[in-house]
Amino acid sequence: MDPALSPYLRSLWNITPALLDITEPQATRPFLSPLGLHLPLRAPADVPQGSWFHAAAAHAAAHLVFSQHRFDPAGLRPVTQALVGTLEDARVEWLACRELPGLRRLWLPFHAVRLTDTPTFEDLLRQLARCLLDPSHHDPHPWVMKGRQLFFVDAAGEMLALRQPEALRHAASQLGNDIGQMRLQFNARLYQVMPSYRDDNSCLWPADERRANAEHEVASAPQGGAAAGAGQPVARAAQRHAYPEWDRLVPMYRPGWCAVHDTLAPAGNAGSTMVMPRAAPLPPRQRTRLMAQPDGDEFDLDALVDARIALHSGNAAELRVYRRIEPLRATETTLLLIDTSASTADVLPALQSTALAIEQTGGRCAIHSFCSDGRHAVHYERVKDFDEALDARCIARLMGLRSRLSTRLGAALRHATHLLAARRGTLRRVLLLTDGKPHDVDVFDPRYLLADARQAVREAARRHVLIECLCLDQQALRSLRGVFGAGLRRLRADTR
Amino acid sequence: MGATLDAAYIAAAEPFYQPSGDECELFEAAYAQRLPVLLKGPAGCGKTRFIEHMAWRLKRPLITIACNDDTSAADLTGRWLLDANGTRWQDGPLTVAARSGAICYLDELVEARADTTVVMHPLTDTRRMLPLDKRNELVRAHPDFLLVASYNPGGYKELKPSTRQRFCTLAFGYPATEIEVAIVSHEAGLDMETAARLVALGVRTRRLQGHGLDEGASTRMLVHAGRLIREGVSPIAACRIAVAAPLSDDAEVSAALLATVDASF
Repeated sequence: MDPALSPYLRSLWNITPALLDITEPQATRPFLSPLGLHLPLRAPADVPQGSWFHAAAAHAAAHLVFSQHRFDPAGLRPVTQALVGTLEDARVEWLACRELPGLRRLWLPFHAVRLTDTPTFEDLLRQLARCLLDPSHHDPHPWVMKGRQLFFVDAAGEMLALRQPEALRHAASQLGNDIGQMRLQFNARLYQVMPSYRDDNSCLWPADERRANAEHEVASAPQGGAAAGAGQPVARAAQRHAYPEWDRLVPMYRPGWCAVHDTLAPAGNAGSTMVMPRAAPLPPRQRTRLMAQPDGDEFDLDALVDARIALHSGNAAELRVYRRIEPLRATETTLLLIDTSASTADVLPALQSTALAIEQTGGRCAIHSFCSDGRHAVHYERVKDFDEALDARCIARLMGLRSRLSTRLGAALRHATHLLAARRGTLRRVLLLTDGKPHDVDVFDPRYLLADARQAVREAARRHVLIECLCLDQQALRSLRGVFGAGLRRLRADTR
Repeated sequence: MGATLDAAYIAAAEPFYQPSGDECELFEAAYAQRLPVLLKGPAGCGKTRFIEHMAWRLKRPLITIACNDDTSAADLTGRWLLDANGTRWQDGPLTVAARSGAICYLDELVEARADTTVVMHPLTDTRRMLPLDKRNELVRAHPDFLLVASYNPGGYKELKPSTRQRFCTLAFGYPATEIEVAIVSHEAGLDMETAARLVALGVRTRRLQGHGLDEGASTRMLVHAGRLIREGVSPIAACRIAVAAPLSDDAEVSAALLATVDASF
């Protein structure tokens, strides 16, 4: 899924529906459910590819903003139901275009209409939709002209007539009766809302079976993850981020393949035997004295005397006669990423204390951790954020980390990179603390996750984020060398 | 000094400023009591224009110092220089303002190093004086002198409490929509409808604040876009180069901003 869609909808309408992939490969239509906006994996083949997802997202968002009413299907024939959908689609698009006129330019290319001598009902619906989106378009068909007259108050199409749901329903009934008199056939089973960027309008009617199924499918995924980690603290209000994964055999990205659930790490037990380490004082800010500078706070007396002598002798004087005291600057931003997979059970205290030690050397630093349970459940937990002081709550969260599940490294690195890339700083760095190679329950090729992690490191470099790794395991060093290159260091045994 | 300073540092014409509330009256009251004032708010919301307007209104010269992390105490107070006849003292802008009774405006004070901000502390309390230790002189501030600083909260750095507590603080935000439309329309010379479209776009970008953007489009950016439109550039092209492109380098956020610009016109 295009990651720009979420900020796009937020900026257009200040709404943030969850954007979810429809995993059925043959699905081509978006739909709205109480969970969010479900989008197919790829756009239909016969439409402009680049803008289809934007068009689909903007249309669905217009429903979310302007379609507050649920129509009662009782007593409505299928033809009238389809017409209610078309008129409501046109109404929300008209309202959206009033605020954002450029949306009309986005949607119109999908309204390609073929005029035929014997149009079917679907053809007429398409012509009507085209005509209502673009009032300047003239359609000679009398039924379409009637629809246009019912929809707009004025001939220019600048005033909307169907402002109330009852008026819209009444207009749909009138147009539906005309279709009946024209003896046009309609197969409600095969009917798909046109054009393809429009959702199936299931959101306009009371909940139906399909939406209930969709809710069930999506809702069950995170529960599976939680069940696998039974007895572990359950993530609270996790934010879901989708990331692609690199398949080394194809070789291509699998778009939106991994789901990272980003949440605050749970605090450790109150009765934990871990002692809260005393925070070491920050090292004093280092300063350096620069002599013979072209400008500065005060004279560098040696340079000044030399300059005066040179001037008196009639020679060219060196005018760098100042001295200045400068602080040594640290604009380093580090994200410490702790691997908490099950294999770290023995070494987790060493990783925790290493993280703490690095945090206390100063500089801007965040501590996050991750583990995974298949590609749909990469758990990413925040112990301490960049702007947070290392207080008792952070220490409690750090000590609350437990080793569990697996290591889907690439997805975690991509999420860490995403967080760091949004921050300022001349040196932005992810420092991974791990015990060994990546592994996950749904991956059987030992080189697959390594290749994906290598790709994630390259992506980070392109975004000017440096990824380094401190590894505890001598055995894993060789394979991790191919992932991190010179950024790999071995954590020495005496830090354990 | 005073006469030449007045000529150079007093604005000839009234700088346009559209008040959002009673900030002008509050500033005048603070000036009457010679209380230092801190203007805080996001970039491009009108802090600098406000102080230019107030200096013009109070008929005081305005000395502006843009602080950065290389700004040292000597840059504010002055330093010894070497010339053909030996060494000579050169007053810094803060000293000039204190001697001549100007309003000294420290723009983006938070960018200055902490040790630099401390030198102005004696000027901000009842002492109203500036010790020049390198010259062994104590400068008593002119009765008309006022210190004003600005900063942009929520950024990378923060002001020390010992500095903040010396100032009365006027908080600026983006103006209310109608006022912002009037500002953009006036500054860019546009009709109200186009200005309203620009401001609506600005409001949309501000929704991404904290979601990929540090700050949304400022009023200044919208004015820039408006000026380009007035030059005959199409609204979409103008907003692309004056709003969308400067706001972000991130590919996703840029794509979203460009799509929002396209949808807006």
